[in-house]
Amino acid sequence: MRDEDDALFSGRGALPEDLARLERALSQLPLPPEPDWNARPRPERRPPVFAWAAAAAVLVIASAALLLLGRDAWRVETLAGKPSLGGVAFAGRIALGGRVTTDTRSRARLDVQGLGVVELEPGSALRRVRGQGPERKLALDHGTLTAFIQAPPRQFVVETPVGVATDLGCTYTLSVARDGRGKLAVTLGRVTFTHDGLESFVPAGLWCPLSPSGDGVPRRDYASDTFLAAIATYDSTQGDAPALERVLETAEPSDAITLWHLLPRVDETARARVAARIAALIEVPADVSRERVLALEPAALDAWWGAIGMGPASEWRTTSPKQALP
Amino acid sequence: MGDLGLSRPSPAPDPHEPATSVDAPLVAAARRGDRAAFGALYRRHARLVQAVLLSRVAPDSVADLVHDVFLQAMNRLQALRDDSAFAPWIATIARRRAADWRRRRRDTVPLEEAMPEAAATEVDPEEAFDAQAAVAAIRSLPEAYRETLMLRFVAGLNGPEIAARTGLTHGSVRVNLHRGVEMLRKKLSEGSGHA
Repeated sequence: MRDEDDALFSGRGALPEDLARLERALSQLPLPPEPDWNARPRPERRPPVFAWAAAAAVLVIASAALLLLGRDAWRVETLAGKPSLGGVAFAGRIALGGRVTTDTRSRARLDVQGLGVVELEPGSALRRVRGQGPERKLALDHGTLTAFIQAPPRQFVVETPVGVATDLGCTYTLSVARDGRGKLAVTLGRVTFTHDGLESFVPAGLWCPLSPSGDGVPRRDYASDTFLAAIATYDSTQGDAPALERVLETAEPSDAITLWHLLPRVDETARARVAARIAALIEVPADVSRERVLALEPAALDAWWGAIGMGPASEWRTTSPKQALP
Repeated sequence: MGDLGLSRPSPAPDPHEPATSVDAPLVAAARRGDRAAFGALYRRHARLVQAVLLSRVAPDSVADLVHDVFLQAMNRLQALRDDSAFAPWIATIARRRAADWRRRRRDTVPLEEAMPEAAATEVDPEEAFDAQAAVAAIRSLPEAYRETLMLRFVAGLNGPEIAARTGLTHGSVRVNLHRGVEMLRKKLSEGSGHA
């Protein structure tokens, strides 16, 4: 649908009566009274003599910090307890090679310079590592982080022992235990998770389990209990045939995204079953042959992805799709 | 209508005014200590912050949190690198503040407790009921749709403006709006029959 034909999206033209009424009602919700901004305390101004001394001290400290840390040290703030900094760290900041660890009572917030913040939960270990080009990259060795990122896609990356999460502009929580089990849950925007050449596209409202062998397929928070149980069984049996059948039986149209992720992860026989079920659940492109999908031809997979309604696959991909093992 | 924790209406900003061109000089002035400029930013973006918060926290906490978010923004204005990006920046602060609120309340406050009793206002009672029911219904939708719908109907933003403030693609915003509205209609028709 074109923008101009869609009043709900474009904001132009008349909405259906029920939505117009909703818009009138919600747009009249009262706002809180505006505070008296002039009554807010202003930062203290020091006498000039102190200002000069402070400026000199800051200059010395900043020079030392720049020498020690490079130009882009990231600030670490304590949210609870006593998080500790290690490696290349100075004055509450970490540079490349720096690390933040939290014990069972500590939480920390890391200011990812210019991109957003990362909050580190208790029992976590996070390192700052070198990314490629403009990438800002962290390594979560174990524990849980929540990232609030407002940046162009693919500029914020978190590697874990079981794969790499690449931000496409969003808020997400990533956890990984010392045994490699964990979870990626996206609450806003989108994330891709890559392991051994296989890439999962995880939009808001979906999550995927992580394990030492990589990531499980993404699934909706609000999928039916029967479908979630079936896909959990499929994960735990490492994809045996009866478990897959149960997944296919219980899938609803909005679970097509989960089934799509199974395509490159299953053998050829199972792939045909999965593809048939997707085609029964949603309207797949008529001009893309089933054979091309079963052969995992990237353009065919991307066309089927497009039919799911999560935007074109080209917006997501950070790698080329990998042929599953026969 | 329930007052949703807020006490009186303020003039709403025009959400269709190009945010980037207007915000940058206001942010620069506010950073130099011009409190009137910061007040202008508040009036332009309070609806945006209100919408983000309503999608995540109990409605009776929204008023306090709107103030918290703007106070944090005032204190951290030096950290904003691109003055024209004030809107997405303050939306991120609001999401983070909501996450803090939820973390603190997680074990103690049931979701339903937050909807306040209806109070007398100048708003048409039937539409007021609609607003309360609609806020509750939107809050019961999957997380992916809540914020998009609140930004559309509470903040009055259109699809491209929502995309600019959330980092979502136009396609994703469109999908969220249409699927969210579809689910919302279902919820409202199952409930009171209003909408």
